Formats: sequence, structure tokens, C-alpha cells
Amino acid sequence: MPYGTTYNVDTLELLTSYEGYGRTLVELGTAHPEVVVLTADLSRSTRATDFFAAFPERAFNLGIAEQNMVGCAAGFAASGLVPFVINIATFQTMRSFEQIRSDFGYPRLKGVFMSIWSGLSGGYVGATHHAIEDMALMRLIPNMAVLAPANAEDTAAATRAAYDYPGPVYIRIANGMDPSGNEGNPLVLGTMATTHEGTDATIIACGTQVADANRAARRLADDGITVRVLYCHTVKPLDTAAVLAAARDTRAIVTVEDHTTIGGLGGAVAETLADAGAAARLVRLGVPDTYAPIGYAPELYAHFGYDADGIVRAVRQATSGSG
Amino acid sequence: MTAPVQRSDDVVRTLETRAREIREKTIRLGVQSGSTHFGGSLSMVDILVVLYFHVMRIDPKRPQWEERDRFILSKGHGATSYCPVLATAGFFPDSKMDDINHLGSAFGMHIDMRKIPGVDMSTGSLGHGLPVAVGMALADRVRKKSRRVFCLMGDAEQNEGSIWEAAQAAGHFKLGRLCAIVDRNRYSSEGDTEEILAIEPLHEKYAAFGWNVRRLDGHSIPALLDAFAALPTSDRAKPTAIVADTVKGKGVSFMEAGATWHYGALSEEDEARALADIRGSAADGGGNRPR
Repeated sequence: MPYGTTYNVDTLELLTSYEGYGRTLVELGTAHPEVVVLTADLSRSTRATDFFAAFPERAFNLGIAEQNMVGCAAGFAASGLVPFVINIATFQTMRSFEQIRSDFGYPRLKGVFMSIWSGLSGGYVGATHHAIEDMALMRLIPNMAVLAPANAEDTAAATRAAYDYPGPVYIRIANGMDPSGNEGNPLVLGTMATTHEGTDATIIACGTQVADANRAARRLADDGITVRVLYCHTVKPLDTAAVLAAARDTRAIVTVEDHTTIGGLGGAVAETLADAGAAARLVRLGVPDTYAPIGYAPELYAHFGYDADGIVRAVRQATSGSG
Repeated sequence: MTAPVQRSDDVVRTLETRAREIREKTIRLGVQSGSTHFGGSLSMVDILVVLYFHVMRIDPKRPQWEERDRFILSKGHGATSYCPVLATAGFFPDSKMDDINHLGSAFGMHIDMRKIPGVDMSTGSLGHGLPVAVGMALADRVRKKSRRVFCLMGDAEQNEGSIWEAAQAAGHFKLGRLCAIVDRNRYSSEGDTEEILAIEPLHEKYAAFGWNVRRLDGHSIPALLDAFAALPTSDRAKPTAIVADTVKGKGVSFMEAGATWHYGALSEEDEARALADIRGSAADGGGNRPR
């Protein structure tokens, strides 16, 4: 299924990630009368419409006023309700960053920030709508959990887990057309799931890049390079034990994220290795320190070398010669 | 703790005495702090006193009581008078503030809802309070609670765009139980608000955003009592904005006499003068003296 085309939900085998959380919100709203949903005039774009239809008295379109929306969400949280704030990742994390940090992180209020169009998944939307900094920003906030599920099933699981988490949670999904990557494995917050086993290198991937990481691992296996793939759905708190085990067990680590290579998954892994004094070759794939051009998302991933081809190249390079 | 808002001479006298007591404690706590926001802490004392000692439904023995009215100090730097108000109301003993500013203290320049009993929202960064108050009022609508939400803001804080995002929302959703108060003491850190970035006409601005607006003398206990007595009881009504004209540093003559006491430290001698001024003001009968 090419990106950027109109799709028909009925023809898809899997749910989209939008539907993953959209349906879960209704499920949570049914079970918990304290669940409220807030959007900044994006209920349709974010597929929060099911919740809006099911619980109109608990669904709020607060207009294009993100700082007020997050402040309001804190008011809800301080009154014993559990707000799910749904927005486009770039506006969610940057326009209202201080409200998330000071009104949620600091008093450790419970709230879930659900973001769509993370990374370059919006493709041709351009740099204003590319969210390549969101994980780095959210990682900076004490008490905040940062989740990057790979597919609809895990987006639903992450949404449920976020409800139970004793503090604010940030969840990023891509453009909703997220491929599969972890079917059958339960999502346990704070851990990494091993989706492919190998000893020559480890790929640590989050979000939709997990599918490409698995694809790359299968192709590398054909060439005799065996790769461990760790699916890092919880970028914070990071499963540091899994990172250090990878450093011990394999020669190289390649991180893959739809995000700047500064401060996100690659940054977190680099910090972990450096703090432990672990010896491993580390290659961070993602968006370099630049703004992305216009293009469809897969073209942009290829452009910056973090599609399946790029991951294969990076692993070959990291495992060849002197390493 | 619920008391009907009523205006009798006894009530007014009691609250005026209370206000002097809070101003004295503000000076003492400010001295203990080393330096603090004296001007803006003193300008809002009468508003706080009327709310905490007459208007608001609170139970200091149960700071988390579900049915309590909510109060958000959006101008979190007013902690130097706000914390003594909470202590005097009975949320904690005065002595709890003895370690103010020291490592691990619950008390510093701004306020932390996780550390100070009675604080409904952590604040400090300007422009945050009104959005949170709007959320609380909406939450009360969802939960069918009849609580009131009060939000006290600074005047220069009106420069913040987030205030006006929240003002739009409050008017749009007709949050009748929301009451915002602007401590209009006319000066920000660096001078006259109208010279730095004009906020007036505040009355017309809030009215245009769908609020019911009252402008009053923020040091007149009777005027404040009347304004709070007139708040709508209905959830779906215009929210109320009270623009309270105040004097920065109110009660201390040398602080009232200019814009220089936004933030500062008091010498021992000045502390004594300040306390004498406050005690002496008993004879003035309160009110907003001409500058």
C-alpha cells in the first residue's frame, strides 16, 4: 500500500494505529467515567471521532489553542479526571511544551499525550509539520514516559498501559498506516521486545521503523549476517539492561528512529552505553541535524537512509572490516 | 467552613484586621526569605483575605476535600503573602515556613501543590493559571459538581497569549462558576504596564471575550464582598472577571511610593518601618489611598 493514497479500511487486514487508539479510547471511556478527551480542532484528523460520538459530554474540541488545551487538561487531571490530549506531534510537544513540563511533569499529574504524524510520517506536509524533535523534548521531562508503538495492536496496548501509568505519558504514532511488527508479543512498558535473534549486530528500533528493521534482519540473514532486533516501544524509561546486553552479545548496535538522531532513541542508547563504559560500535540512523525536504514518507526514509535498504547498508558497514 | 457572603460592619472589620495580620506575616516571611516579591504580594492581600476567610468553601483540616472551591494563584510569585494566608487559615502551622528557601523546604519563591497543603495547582510561570482554572471548571461540569474556581492573576501577566486562549474558552463554554481576578497594581518588574506593553482596556477586553466584568477597588473589603456575593450560581453563565485596582506594596508607605518594590530585600530598619506602617493603617480604615 503506497503512502499518500486514499485507503479503504475494509481492505486492510490490520487496523490502522488511529483505530488502535480510537477504539481503545472508547473502551477506556466505557470502563472509566473519569476519562476525557481533548483535541485542538483535530478530532476528525486524529480519529478521536468515536469517543466524541460515544461520550460527547466528556469530549472537548478546544479550538486551535494548544497551550490552553494542555492547561485545561491539567485542570481536569487536578480534579481527578484522566485527560487524553490528542494532537499533531509537532504542535503537541512544541507549542505547549512548557504546559506539559510545568503543569503535568512537575506536579506529576496523570495525563496522556497522544500524537499523530510523528517524525516524517506526514511526508509532504513539510518541515512545519514534521515532528523530528518530539521524543527528545518529552524525554527531557522528569516523570514523563515516552512510548513509540509500532502498529495498531501495540498502539491500543500502549493506550491502555498509559491509562494505568502513575504520571504523564507521551505516545507517538506515525500517519496511522503503520505496518505490523510485533504481532503476538504483549507490550510491557519499560522493556524491549526481541523480534529477531542474532549475534553479529543489534538493531534497536522504535515506532514504524520496527517493520523495516525486521525486514532488514531477514535480508541480512540471507547474506549470513545474523541480527538481533530489539523493538523499543518504551523510549523512556529505557530498558538499559537490554541495551547493555546487546553491547555485550553483538559487535555493533544500530538504532533506527523516525526522529532526529539527537536526543531520541539513538541519543538514549548512546547515553546508556557511555554511562556504562560499554564498548560497542554505535550507528544512529534517523534524521540528521537538518530539516527534511518535501516527499512521501518512504522516500524521505530512503533519502535519510533509514528504510530497510538503509538499515541493511548500515549493518553491513558496522559489521565489516575493523568495525 | 461555608459562610454566606454577607456584608456587615463586623465582617468587614474582622477581615480588615486579618488583612493587616497577613501583611505583617508577609513582611516577616519576606525578610526570612532574604529577598522576595514584596510589591505584588502585598497588593493582593485583601483579595486573598476575603476569599479565604469569608467566601471560599474550604476545609483546612481536609486540604483534598472533594467539594472544596478551587483557587489558583496564577501569579505564583505572590507566595510570600499567599502561604501566610494558607497557614493562618489553618492548612499548616506558621512554623512550617521556617525553613523557607533552604534545601528541601516546601516553601520557595513559587508554590508546589505536592508540597504545600491547600495549594490546588503548582504555579510560577506566568500565563498558566487561567487555562488550568478553565479545565477545573469544565471538570466540575463533567462531574456535576457545584464548586467554584477562582483564579488570581497578575496584571502584567495579561500580556501572555495563553491567558487569552483561556479567556476565549471560558467565554465560549460559559463557565459561570469560574471567577478570574486581576490584581491590577499597575506595575510589572520594570515599570508601568501601560508603558511596557499596554493591557488596557481590560474591562472591554474581557467583556468582548464573553465575560461579565466588574472593576473595583481591590483594597476595599466591602467592594470585594459585594462582588463575590454577586457571582452567578448557575454553571452555564458568563464567567466573571474582576479587575481589582490595587496599589503595589499596599500598606507599606515606602513601597507604595513607586515602582521599585517589585522585588527586593528589606533592611532591619526598613522591616521595622514596614511593620509600623501596617499596624498604623488600622486607623485609615483601609481602602485604596490615592498615590
